[in-house]
Amino acid sequence: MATQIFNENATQERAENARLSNIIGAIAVGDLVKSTLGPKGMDKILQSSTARGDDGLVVTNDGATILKMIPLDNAAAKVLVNISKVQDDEVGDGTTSVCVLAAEILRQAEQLLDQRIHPQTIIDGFRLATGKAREALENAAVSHKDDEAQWREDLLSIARTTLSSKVLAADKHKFAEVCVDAVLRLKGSTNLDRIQIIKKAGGKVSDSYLSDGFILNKKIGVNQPRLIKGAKILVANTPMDTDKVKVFGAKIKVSDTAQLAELERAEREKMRAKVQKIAALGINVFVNRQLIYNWPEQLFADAGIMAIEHADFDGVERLALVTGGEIASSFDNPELIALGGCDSVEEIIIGEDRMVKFNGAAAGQACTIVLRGGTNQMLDEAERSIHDAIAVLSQTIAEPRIVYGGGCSEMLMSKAVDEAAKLVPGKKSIAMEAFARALRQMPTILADNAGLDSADLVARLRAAHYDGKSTSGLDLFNGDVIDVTGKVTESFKLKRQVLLSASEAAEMILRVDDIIRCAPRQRRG
Amino acid sequence: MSAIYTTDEYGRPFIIVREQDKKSRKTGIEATKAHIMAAKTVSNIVRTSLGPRGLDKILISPDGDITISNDGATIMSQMAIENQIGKLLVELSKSQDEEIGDGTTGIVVLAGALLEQAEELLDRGIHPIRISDGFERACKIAVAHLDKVSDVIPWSKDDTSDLFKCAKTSLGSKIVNKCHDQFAQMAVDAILAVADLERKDVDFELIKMEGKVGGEMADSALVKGVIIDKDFSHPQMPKDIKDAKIAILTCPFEPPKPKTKPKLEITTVKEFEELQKYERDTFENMIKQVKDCGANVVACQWGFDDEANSLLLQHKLPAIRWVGGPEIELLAIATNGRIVPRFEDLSAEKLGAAGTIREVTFGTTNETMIVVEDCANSKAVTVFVRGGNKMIVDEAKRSLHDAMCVVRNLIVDNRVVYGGAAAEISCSIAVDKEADQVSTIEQYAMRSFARALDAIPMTLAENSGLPPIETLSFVKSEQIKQGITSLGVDCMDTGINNMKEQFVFDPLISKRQQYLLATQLVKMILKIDDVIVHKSDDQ
Repeated sequence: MATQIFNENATQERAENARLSNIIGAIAVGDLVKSTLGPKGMDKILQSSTARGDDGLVVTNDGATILKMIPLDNAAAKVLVNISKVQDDEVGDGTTSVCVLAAEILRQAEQLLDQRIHPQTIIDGFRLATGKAREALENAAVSHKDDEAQWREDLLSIARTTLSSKVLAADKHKFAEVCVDAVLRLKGSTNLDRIQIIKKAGGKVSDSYLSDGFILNKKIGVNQPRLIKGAKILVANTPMDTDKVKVFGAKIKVSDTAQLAELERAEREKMRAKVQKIAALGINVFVNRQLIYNWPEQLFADAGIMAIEHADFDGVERLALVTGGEIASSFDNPELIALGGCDSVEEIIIGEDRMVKFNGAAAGQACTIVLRGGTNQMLDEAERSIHDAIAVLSQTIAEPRIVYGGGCSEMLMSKAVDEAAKLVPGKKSIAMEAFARALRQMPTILADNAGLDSADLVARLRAAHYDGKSTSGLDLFNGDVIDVTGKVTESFKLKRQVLLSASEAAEMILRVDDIIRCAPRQRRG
Repeated sequence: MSAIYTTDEYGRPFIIVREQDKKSRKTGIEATKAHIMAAKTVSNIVRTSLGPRGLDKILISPDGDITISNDGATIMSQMAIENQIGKLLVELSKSQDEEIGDGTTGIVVLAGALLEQAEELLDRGIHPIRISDGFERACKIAVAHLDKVSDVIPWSKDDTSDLFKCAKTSLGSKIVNKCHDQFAQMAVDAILAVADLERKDVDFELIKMEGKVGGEMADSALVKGVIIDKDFSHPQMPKDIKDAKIAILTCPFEPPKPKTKPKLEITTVKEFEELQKYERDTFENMIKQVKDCGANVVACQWGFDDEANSLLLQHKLPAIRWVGGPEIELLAIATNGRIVPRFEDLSAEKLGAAGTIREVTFGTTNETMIVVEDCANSKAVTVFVRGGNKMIVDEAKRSLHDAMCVVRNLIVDNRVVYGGAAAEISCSIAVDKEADQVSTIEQYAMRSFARALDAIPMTLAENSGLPPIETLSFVKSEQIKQGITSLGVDCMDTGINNMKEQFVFDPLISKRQQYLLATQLVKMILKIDDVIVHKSDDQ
């Protein structure tokens, strides 16, 4: 009957169909990443369709990484990918949990829709439930920021929880120390660029370490000192190849070779003057973001200055932070240039590569983690894991409250929602109960992934919570319900973000009753 | 080749429509009916978005990007409709959006309902022109009746509670009703901050919307100042500046680039050296000029040279580069500064002033924004929207814009009618009554117009899960019995039908515009009786 109002390649799904396609899409994504959840979660191999060989191969346990690499065509699935990405950007970890929780909420909602409950009523119920869950989570959150020893123990525990689901699980105690030390050096900053991770294939994973100095993955120029004690460092961003004349449209025109030679000499003189100006600052280490040509390099060598060229932008910024110097580009006012300093600068060898290490830096905010491992995939995954842990830790320092993991906080929230549902009249209470069930799915999945009897364990966990033991959680290694205080700790911010993002996304998907897909753009060629 | 042709008196053929097989043609009633069918299809799509319990749509663009929206105008414009009549409806909701900003779904539903009624009349053999005349008369009555049932809502700068309620009505159907009160308050505050109450005008240019994913919707806030999605040009510049004096520049911190391409030729060593000196002097001069006028922050529309950047740092001048055009204007308005196109023109009185400027970092990816607060001129505000994912932030921005439009409309004209389709029902009763006194065929058309108005409360009831016919007849009879025109459909199931008590208001001008524009469009569609479509030329 309907008149064609769209382009013929456009498609439209309406009402039940749209809802079904959305929910199925979301559940499919949830199921896809579900098996990676928890300390006994499994990894996934992702083979890129474009890049071949080693580059295209990724082995990972990180939800955000998995979802980023899968091209999805379902609208609801894309929403889940987006929340997982936001979770990654915002907190750094919990990317799997957020997807799984959203999918579980939608799975419950599907049953309610089958009972002919209006989507808006379900959403109202879910909102009430989210509010209650959040309240419960906030009440359960504790902060030990004042007690230093306990605080450090908390951080270590969070790092261990995060790392335990990753490839580094075997050495999680070691890496937890590494991550906590690195983050504490930041002194409250959340700028993770300051922590550099250097990956070098070879050796064992347990050979990795946190370098107390700063390592720059660059080489020292030829004929220059390899070790400098009491270094005075100038960090610069200036052309040291040919110093071009920047005035627009300037051109050199000569009529004979003698003039050309003179001009060349002038250029060299200019460069020499620049090097002299730099040398006159009284430095013995010069790090430049741009290239240093052979001629100035030689001049530096003559002056006994260690010159390092082509340190990338991040490297320069980090170095400036570590040494306390300023990144300079003009050298006419020596009194205005702040120089950096450190105890010693030396060339070291990691694996087969030479690098420059800055020891005993003045302002020690930045640091370097050196990762070793058997394969590139292993290193990549290790880097992702470390990054996740560091991100969570730095966010925890900003928001010091913690909650307990191992399904403890989920069960706590589920209990609070269930209890609140009993007091709500009308259909909303059914939706709230469904939300509580979705929350309980999280410990269930954790137990399932660990190969344990989830029905029994979760029922026991629930009983423990109703018995007033509000710090009970799952011990997935022994398959038991234990008091998780101090054992499995998670950041409050992470858990809160998971809850809010998941329910927001589920709500958004539930509200949709129509999907209109425009005709794909015709690509030429 | 086939063509429509006829012959003249000498028997020679002449062609009227060339190459008919490449064109499709519809005439008369057939054409009108096809149009009505198309319009109904379109309005059926957005119908389910109407009202506080309306649902959203997912729109997937040709490139695969996703928009999730409840806003009629957004849905219509992103649907990529190919049908001509469909496109007219898109234009309809767009003009409502541009003129009023809200009620973009309602207008399409109304137009669809009117056309549906027109179809029945056509079946009875009434001429399209008579139908449109009848609609026109009915529309006049309805609009006049709207004026009658409208109420003036008092508001002042101190008492904004009624404005707040109107904003809430507009936000009710959107996903942001999670933080209903907060967003409504933000909309009211934003508009009042920039409104010119003397002239009753609101300049939307002064309100900037910034969205950032992460956090939750409740973290959204109204910033009395400007947010710039940039960071300081040098990583070591101070991140927090108090009592800032801002030099707002539109000239780059780079060696001069004359617009007429000069040819500067260096032929001797001396010239080469002089040029070097000139270059250095230019930089130093720039910095000196900025410093001399007393500025302590620089916002520049262009980039900086590395050397300039370093010099700025050395002279303790924090700087922001690559600030976009609209942002730099906003910054200038907010800080009472002047945009300076040349370094030579810098002077103390041209600087902008702000209480604090600080760099704020979000999340783990080192994303930063610069917040300028406590500005000299409080007229410029920024609405900062946060949410769990990109789609939600976009939708929240759109919803907030709609709500701000509603508030703006009330500042321009503070008369309101009651929502929950109370106004439609009351108009429908009025039109029906008048229709009985009309002696011509138009009577039928006017009754149909009343039926079409009834479609709005029916849709509302349907979307809210209420029995549509039952609800409508109940409310209608109550309106007549009690003589209260503010009775409407109780979408939220609160047990109160009086919209005055539920505080559901719509601006009068928004409703009026809806009726007028929808009627106009329907008249236009009814007038078309012949369509010739060229089939795609590329074959």
